[in-house]
Amino acid sequence: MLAKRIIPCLDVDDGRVVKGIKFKGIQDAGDPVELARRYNDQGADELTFLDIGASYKSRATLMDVVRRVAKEVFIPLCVGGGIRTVDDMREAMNAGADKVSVCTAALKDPLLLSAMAKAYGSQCVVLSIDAKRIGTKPDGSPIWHAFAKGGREDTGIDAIEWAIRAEKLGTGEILLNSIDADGTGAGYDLVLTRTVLEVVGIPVIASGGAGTLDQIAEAIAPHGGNADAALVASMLHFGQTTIAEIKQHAEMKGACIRW
Amino acid sequence: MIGVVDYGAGNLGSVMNALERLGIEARFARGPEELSLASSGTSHQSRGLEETGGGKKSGSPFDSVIFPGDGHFATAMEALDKSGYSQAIREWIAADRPFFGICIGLQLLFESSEEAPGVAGLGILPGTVRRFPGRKVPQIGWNQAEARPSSTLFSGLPPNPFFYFIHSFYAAPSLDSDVAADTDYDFRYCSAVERGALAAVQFHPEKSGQVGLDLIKNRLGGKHAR
Repeated sequence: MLAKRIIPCLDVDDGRVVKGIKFKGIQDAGDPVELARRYNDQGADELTFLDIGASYKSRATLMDVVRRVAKEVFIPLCVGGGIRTVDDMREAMNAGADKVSVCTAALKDPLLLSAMAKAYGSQCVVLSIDAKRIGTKPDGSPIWHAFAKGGREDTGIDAIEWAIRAEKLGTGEILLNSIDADGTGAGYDLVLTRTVLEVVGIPVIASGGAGTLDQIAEAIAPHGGNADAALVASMLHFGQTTIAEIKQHAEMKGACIRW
Repeated sequence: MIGVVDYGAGNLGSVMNALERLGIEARFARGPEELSLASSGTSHQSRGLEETGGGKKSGSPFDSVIFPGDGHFATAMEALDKSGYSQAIREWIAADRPFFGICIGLQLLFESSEEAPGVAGLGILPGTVRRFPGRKVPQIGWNQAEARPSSTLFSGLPPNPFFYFIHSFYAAPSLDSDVAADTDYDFRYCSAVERGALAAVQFHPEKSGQVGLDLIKNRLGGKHAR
């Protein structure tokens, strides 16, 4: 049976992991290579690197990080942040990425998704949707908009319709980030997760809001959010928990887990 | 020396990284002629049985061939036909030389694929490649391979190990004896094949952590490595 994935997300700025980390035994806690190694040893199913530096130099440094990680960590690697063209994608793939995630560039030019899928196959194209509730429909259900530029710009595009369209354009996977929940530690927006899962036939990764083990388990449990994977950042980086602990919890909640 | 077939599609860096990590000597094949079993300068007809029958070295610099990669069935077959790899791979496998296919390298062994109606595959194993029905496509993530008792590919690995899968099409072999492992994605399908020195897997062992590295080592450091 296909296992639900736990994916640590490393926000990298100029070659350094940005959020604070308090691991024992890690000599340089801000080194993404060392952290990748650590999460791999803990049983991470995949790793996501997001370049938040947004400069040419920062991205070049991240590519070097990916190259080094790919030489010793043999699980799938996803790279995002500042990927705007198929050439950017190629650079990441050549460095050792197995897939890339795009957000703002695809909102500006949706056909980028098709071009990327044509170049490498849908399985290498992850669309990152930063969704924020902006109101409710007459029937009371929420309306989400897709935001660009790291959540700073409302595109006016309905996030659910964007997910449907993106699948048709060749997206292989959706990384669904709730802006409302992100950083709150109050739990994933499971209504959003379930709404997107209902309308697409591709895997959906829940992101944003993890504060407790229960919440992560709930996001991927079949009777909860039923997302295909959960992205986890702060809870891991701050040393609050480990991948193994997350997986034990998710398994208790009925999720199929890879050991 | 392991020869890695690069037909110009797909990112093969991770396979090379995995082999390097395992200390297995490997390089990309420079062309189909490097898979030729004849001693250099002689034709295939002149090759004596003693050159290949006892596992003795042939004209090829390679003891074993890996055929990895993602990609479209039609694009891959076109590249293989054009370059001459199709025939070279058929002869290599017909001579029971060690061959290991990954992902598209498994699918191309069959006769045809629903991904590319009308395009002939290598036709080495009887059967076809089909699109996943219903369910989420592509299948992305970690799933279990349940090895058949007859398989040597999985020997020494923990039971029903998880591997990383990423595909929309699956192989349906006509001969049950070719199946080395099954996987459950709402229904059971063939996720690995084995026939003599030929083995191929649908998942990506080079992206499947330690168990994946162990499987590669099993294959290339096992009885078929020379």
